[in-house]
Amino acid sequence: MLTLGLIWTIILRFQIQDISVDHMSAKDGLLLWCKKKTKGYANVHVDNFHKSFNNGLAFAALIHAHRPDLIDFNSLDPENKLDNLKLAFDVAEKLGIASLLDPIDVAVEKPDERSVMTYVAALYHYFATMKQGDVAGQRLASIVSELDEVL
Amino acid sequence: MTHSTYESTVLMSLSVQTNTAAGLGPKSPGAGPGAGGAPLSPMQASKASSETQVSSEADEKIQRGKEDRAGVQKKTFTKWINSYLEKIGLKVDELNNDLRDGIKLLKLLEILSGDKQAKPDRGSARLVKVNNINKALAYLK
Repeated sequence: MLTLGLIWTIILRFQIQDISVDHMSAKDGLLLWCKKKTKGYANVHVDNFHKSFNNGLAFAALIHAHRPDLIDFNSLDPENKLDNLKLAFDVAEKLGIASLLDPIDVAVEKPDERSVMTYVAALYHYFATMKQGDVAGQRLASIVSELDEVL
Repeated sequence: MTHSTYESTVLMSLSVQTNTAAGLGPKSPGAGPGAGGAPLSPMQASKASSETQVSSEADEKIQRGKEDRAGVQKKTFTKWINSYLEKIGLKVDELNNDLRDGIKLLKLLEILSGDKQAKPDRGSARLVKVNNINKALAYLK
């Protein structure tokens, strides 16, 4: 469909082309950002913008990596695709990131790549522009609250 | 189960086409020359879907995958556009219909780029609409 092609051109131009991560640009840069941020998260292996995202854990990990206070990542079960996706999208929406995807469309064998990319780019633009201080501050706050529980 | 999903997709795309034709002006179904890709009549539609049934299962699966993906993309892109347009109190309901006069398209580009775009022309003449779309395309070059 012609309209979809036109809108995709606009999304690429304004949301994806400007991404730059370690000398990688656009789509490759966005993928690298996902890999780096989700490194070490159990059951998360981001190799693409479709199958790697269908159980919701990759979205949850991307959010958790920046705001560990918002998601209890270890409590998530890779089998509960719909629940994981809904949780991630709801949490992100509270941060002001428009909920562009429907869990039911993503929890399939191979979700639509362009849709996933559009949403991941929105996460990138939100978190990557978050000041480093904010991220550090959030991490510290979460450590302090954990300490409170222990003590 | 999956088959009925497919049929509802066909029905959905049919109703979209009907809306498109109706949106073009005077209510004279199928008579307007502007209808372009003339909408399928119900007869043709049932013929089309029975032809799909005949085609091999693999073909059907591929076809269904494509239609689903286009449908999902349409949903995602519509929400994406609205996440910007809502800032100025505008909204897109049906992607194809609502962008065809170029006005909302130019508004979207204005928000995204932060530049003041060429002012869209208002009016219902086909030429005016084509002109607006051209302005948008020229910007994307």
